[in-house]
Amino acid sequence: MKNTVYAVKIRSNRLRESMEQLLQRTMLPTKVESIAIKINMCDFRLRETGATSDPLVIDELLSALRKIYPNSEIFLIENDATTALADILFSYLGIIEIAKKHGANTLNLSHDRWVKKEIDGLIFKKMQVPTVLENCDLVITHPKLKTHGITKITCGLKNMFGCLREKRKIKFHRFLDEAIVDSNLAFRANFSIVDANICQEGIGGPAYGKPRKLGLLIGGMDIVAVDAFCARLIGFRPWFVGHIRKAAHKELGKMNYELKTNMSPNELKTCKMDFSKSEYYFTKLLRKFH
Amino acid sequence: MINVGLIGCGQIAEVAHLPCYQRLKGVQVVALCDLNRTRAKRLSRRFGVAKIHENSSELFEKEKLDFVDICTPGFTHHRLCMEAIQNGVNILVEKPLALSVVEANEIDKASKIEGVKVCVVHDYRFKEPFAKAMNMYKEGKIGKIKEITSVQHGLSIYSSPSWLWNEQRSDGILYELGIHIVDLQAWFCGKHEEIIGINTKFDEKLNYHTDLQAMIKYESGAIGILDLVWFSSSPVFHFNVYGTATDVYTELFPERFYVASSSSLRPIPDFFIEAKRVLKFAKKVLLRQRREYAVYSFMKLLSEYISAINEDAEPPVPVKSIMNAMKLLEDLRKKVGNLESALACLENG
Repeated sequence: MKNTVYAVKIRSNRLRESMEQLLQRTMLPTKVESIAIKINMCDFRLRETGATSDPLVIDELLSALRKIYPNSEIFLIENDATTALADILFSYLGIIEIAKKHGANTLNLSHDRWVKKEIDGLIFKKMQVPTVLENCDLVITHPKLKTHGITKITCGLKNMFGCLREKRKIKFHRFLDEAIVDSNLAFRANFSIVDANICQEGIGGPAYGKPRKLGLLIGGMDIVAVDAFCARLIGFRPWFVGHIRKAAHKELGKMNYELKTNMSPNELKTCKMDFSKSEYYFTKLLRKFH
Repeated sequence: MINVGLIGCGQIAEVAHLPCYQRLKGVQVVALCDLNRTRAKRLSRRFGVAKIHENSSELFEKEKLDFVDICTPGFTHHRLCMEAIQNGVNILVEKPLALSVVEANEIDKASKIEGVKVCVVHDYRFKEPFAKAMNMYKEGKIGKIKEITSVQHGLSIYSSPSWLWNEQRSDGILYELGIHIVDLQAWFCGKHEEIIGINTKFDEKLNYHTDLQAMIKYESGAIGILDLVWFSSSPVFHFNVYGTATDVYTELFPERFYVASSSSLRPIPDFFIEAKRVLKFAKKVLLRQRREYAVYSFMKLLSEYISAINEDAEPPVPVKSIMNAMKLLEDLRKKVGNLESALACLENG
C-alpha cells in the first residue's frame, strides 16, 4: 500500500541494521540513475542538538542506498535560508566528508539552474524549481523530526519548503501552511525517510528546541502519511496540523496510514514527544500583540 | 528643532535608531545616506525622511546638520567620524567607536580641537539592571568590587549582517559580540593592569573565532572574568558584580536584577522578584510596547545626547569614558594573536 508507514526502532545503537531494514521494507524502485536527497540544515547547530541532519544517519543512509544503487549519481541537497548558508553548513556539519566517502555530491540549490513550473497551488500558481529536482529519478526528503513553534511539527513536507528559491524564507511565515503545500506541489518528493533518532521537542523548535532521543527511523512513499504518523508522535491529530491537512486536501497524500513497525504497542506508546500545547497557544496569542 | 543626518541604513538604523527619532520631540532626521540607494529609499519612505544621499561628503556638503548619526559597520567609523569633525558636525556613533586605540585617540583629539561632541552608543550602560548596579556601586552599597563575572553567548553570526562574517574586517568576537560586556566591566572596574590568562577557539571550517575566555586584573584590584561564545546553544547575558558589601546579579533577555542577601534561601522575596519581572514583561507585551521596550536604553541615551547638544553639556558617553574598554579590547586582541602564534610555533616544532 502506498500509504504504509514503516517505523524502525534503532536497537542497541545498531543504526546500520535499522537503516537497511527500513530501506528493505519501503518499496524503493529498482532502477534509478540519479537520486536527490533533501537534507535539513536549518541553522548552525550540531548533530547533538537534533536541529540538523545527523552525519551519522546520512552516512548509513548513503551506505544502504549504495548497496541498492551502486552506480547511481547521488546528490545531497540543501538551499540557503534566512540564517543558514548551505555551502558553509555542508562543511561545518561534516556532510562533505560523508558524501565523498560514498561517492555522492553535495549541492547548494542556490547555485543550481532554476526553471519555472506551473502549479495549482494554494497561493502560488508558478514556482521556480531547481533542475536537479526535475532531472533526478528519485527525490527523497530526509527531514529531522522536530517540533515547530508555528506549524507544530516539521518533517517531510516542511523539509521540502526549504527548497524555495527565496533566501529569506521567513517572509512566508505569515502563510506558512499554504507555502509548505505549494512547495510540495512544485518539488515532489517520492520518498520520505525521517531521522527520528535525536529529535527536538518543546516550542523552541525547529532550531532551538530541547534534544530528545527517540531512536526511530521512519519511512514511506506517502509523504503526508509519514508526516501524519510523526504528528501523532508529537501528540497532535494530523487534522489539527494545518499543512498536513491542506496537503491531504491537495491530494499530495493521505492522512490515514497503515503502520508497520518492529515495536510492540507498549514500546510505541513510550515514543511520545513533549510539545507543551498550552505554551504553544499562549505564545501564539502573544505573537498577535507584536 | 535638531536636524540629524543618518549614515548607514542597515538593521540597527531600521530597528533602533529611526523608530526612536520618530518618537522623540524636537528632533528630525533630515537626510539618510547609504551606498545602497534602494535600501535608503525604503527607509526614507517608511520613516518619512525627505532626502537621500549616496555618500557622506554629499551629506555634509548639502545638509545643515546639528549632528550625524553613524550606523555603518565598525571598520568605517574612524573615517566617517574624522570627516564629520572636519565639517564641524557633532557625532553620535554606534559602537565600536574604532577598531584601535590610536584611531579612537585621533577622534578624541580632533573632536576637542574642533569643539565637536562625540557620543558613542554604549547604550547597555542605560539598561536598567546595569544602571541600578552602578548606582548601588556609586552609593557604596556594593562596597569594593572584588570580582566581576560576565558571560555573553550569542547564536550564529550568519543571522547578522554579512560584513560581520569577515573577521578581518569586523574583529567579530571582541568588537561586535563582546564589546558591551567589556565596556560594562571597564565602566565598573576602570583601567586594567594585566590580562592574566586567555583561551580562544578558532573554528577552521567557519574561519572565525567562536570562543574567548579571559581573566583580567584591574588596577583597582578587581578580577574580571570574561566568557564570550558564538554559535552557542542559547543566548546568554550574565553580568555579576561581587563586592565586599554585597553581590549583584544581573541578566538580559529578559532583564533581571537581583541583590544577594546574607541568607541563601529566601523564597518569598525571590517569588516577588520573579513575579514582578514576569508582570513587567507581560505588561509590555499586552500594551504592545514590546518594540519600544527593546530599545529603551538607546532612547535614554539619545534623549540625553540631544539635551547635551541643546545645553552645550558633555555627551552621556563621551570618548574619554570608553577609553579603558578600548584599551582592554586591544590588549585582548594582542593576547589572542600572541597565544595563537605561540601555539603555531609549538606545532611547527
